[in-house]
Amino acid sequence: MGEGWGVFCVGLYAFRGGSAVERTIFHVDLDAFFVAVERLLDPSLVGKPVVVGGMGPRGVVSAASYEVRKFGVHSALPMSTARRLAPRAIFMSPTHGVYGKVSRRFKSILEDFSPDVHSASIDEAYLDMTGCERLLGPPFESASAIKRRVRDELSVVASVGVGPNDVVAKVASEESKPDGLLIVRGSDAAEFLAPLAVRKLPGIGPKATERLQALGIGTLGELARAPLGVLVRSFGQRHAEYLRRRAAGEGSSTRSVREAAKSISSERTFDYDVLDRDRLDAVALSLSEKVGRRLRRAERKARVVVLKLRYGDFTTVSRRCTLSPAVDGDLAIHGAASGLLWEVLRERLDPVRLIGVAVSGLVERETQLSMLGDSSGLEDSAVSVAIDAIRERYGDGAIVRGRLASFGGGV
Amino acid sequence: MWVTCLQENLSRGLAVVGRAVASRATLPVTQNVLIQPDGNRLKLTATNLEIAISVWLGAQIEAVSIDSIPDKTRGDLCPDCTHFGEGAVTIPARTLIDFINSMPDRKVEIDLNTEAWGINLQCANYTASFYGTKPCDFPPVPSVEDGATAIIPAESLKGSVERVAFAAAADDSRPVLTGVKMDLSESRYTLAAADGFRLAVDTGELSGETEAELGVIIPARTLSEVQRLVGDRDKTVEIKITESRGQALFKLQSVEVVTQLVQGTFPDYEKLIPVGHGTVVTVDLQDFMQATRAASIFARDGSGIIRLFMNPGEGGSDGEMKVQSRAEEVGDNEGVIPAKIDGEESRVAFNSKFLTDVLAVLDGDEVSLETTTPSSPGVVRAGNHAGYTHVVMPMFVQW
Repeated sequence: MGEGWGVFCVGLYAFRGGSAVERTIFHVDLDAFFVAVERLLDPSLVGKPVVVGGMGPRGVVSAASYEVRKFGVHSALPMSTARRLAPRAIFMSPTHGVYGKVSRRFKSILEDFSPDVHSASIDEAYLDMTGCERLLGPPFESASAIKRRVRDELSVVASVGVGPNDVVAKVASEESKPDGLLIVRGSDAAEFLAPLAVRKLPGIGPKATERLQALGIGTLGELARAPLGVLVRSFGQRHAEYLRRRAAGEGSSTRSVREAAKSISSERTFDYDVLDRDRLDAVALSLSEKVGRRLRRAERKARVVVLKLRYGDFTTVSRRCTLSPAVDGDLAIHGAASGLLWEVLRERLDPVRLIGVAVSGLVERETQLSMLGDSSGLEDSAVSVAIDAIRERYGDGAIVRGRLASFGGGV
Repeated sequence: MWVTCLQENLSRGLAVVGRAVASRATLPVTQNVLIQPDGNRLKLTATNLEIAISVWLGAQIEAVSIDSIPDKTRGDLCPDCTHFGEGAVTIPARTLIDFINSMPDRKVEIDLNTEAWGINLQCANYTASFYGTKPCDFPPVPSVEDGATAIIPAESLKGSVERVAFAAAADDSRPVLTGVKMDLSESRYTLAAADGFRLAVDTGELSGETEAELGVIIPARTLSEVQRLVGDRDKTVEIKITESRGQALFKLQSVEVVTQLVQGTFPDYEKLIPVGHGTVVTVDLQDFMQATRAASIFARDGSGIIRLFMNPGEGGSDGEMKVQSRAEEVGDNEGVIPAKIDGEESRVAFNSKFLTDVLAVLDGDEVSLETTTPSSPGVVRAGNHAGYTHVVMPMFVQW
């Protein structure tokens, strides 16, 4: 954690009062968050190469300190690969419970800067800072203030990307790391993105990269200039237009950063393939709880529940069902997921490598009232909300459903 | 045995019974139609085991003496079949219906060939043979000859069913709610249906009085079929209910419908109708319908919610009702319609489908909506239908 951060400015971010409103989005991302927290807990780790991740045979890297990154270790890499790349690093499993607490304090710091904070994950968030410069000064000042407070109060380093929309902001923060601050003005967004590899754009994964490579497109600049017809063949009309717009630095700038999620999912890869239906069902319940909690936090209900199973041979099956009325209770989500699970297992009962539960078809939380005192859904919802509140306050382990307790929490 | 009838009559008769043919049958013969000569008429019957529909059509019937059939081809004759009458046979419905519908409007001559359990048929310059089964394979249609009886004017029943049956539950999670409760008492009948979110109740006069003092639950689908079958020549519909309350018979001029009744206890619907109310808004039915339709367009992309705001207007000025809907990422709309408002300013939100459903079955000029709070039931009544009450539960929304 060096003193004084590298500041890059692409172009000069100037606000012209009175002209068409350009949005100012901040993307604030904590650097190697899990590692940073582990170092808080054990200061002897400071300066040493640290990898935090699952310690099981199928564990993946959750976070790697910058000392290890130069060996090619990054998050989502299988731990076994990480060990090969950096055999002398310190490998440790995540300390549950602490990250959540630090994350909540991080988000509350951000809320002091903008009323519109959208938490993207445990260690990153988007802030809509449009119109905040009167109060907080130009973006450079407010972004610096955020970095300072996060460092002083949490002893964690944050990188901040500023852009005219969420995508540019996110790419900017990624580019500025570690301990960076990068401001990209709207008119410079395209120029800023152009030389970057397509992989840097959020939403372009390995598969899309491959497809783009096949089309001879390697940089975002090339993507932005690519003829639409060529892209449409590989990605479909809507997605092609979307990618091209994003690569040119245009974004959903008219919308708030609180852009509604289309679906919420949670998955679990087993250390060893599982054939025990009861255990699979219990895991489905635990995943449903996770999904349910995020669904309720987003103040939504879901009309569609999706179950995903990946067998030992990597065959993946996904099955969905539509519910009416929409649900937001853990048991309702699990009920649907469980039904789908039986259905899939009836067709093929083989060891399972991965199980996932997702909800989509998200709608407003409004509830149709019933006249016959048919309140099972309301009760499920209310119990789930109460569990959320307990976990929020006392930690995830403070309350466990009986079904899961019998598995010793080891589902 | 030879039967001669008009293609048009046969086609119409098959269309009537075709509604009762099982679509996916565990008992294959329920996909057949039972054909029986009955006096000087031809009787067609189909059933899916929940409902059986029989229709009689005018025909010319010529018996061919059974003795004229050579002995060796009569081996199949079955003693159980005799009570179906001579010439009875069952034929796969789909094939027969589709074929008859494609024939010209001429005389159809049918040879009911009981030797081979099939029919040979001739119409204009077409001939066809259908292979079928013997009649005793056909599931027996319960007899509902003696039981409680009531007679309802056909027009009145049709209207009541239209205004009530749609409120019955579409899914089977609570079987009693898939039915319509029919209460008979002295000179009145009452139909009620509820799906847990709404309740529709309609009452009307019987033709004469009934000695029956009873309540049964009729599958909503049966009532809708009966409603469809009531023709111009039907002045009344006679209803008979078995002693065991297991089946009911609906008797029209030339059609009979026998249905299983839903067993169980129907919710006490009288108690579900709110007694008091805070605000009564009266609006033009067409205005309300149009505003609701427009709002449904945005509602269908959101959560299907239509918000109503009742504003009584100040100092003697006319009141108005705002009909609003919105869909995230799509947009929103508002319709304002003039309204007579009796009571406080109020607001309430409903599922757009529930609102459209009830408005669509009403006619007349005016419709009234009684509300109390945003979370208490709304009551819809129409000036033209004195006996009709529709209760609909609101949506609990963030205003």
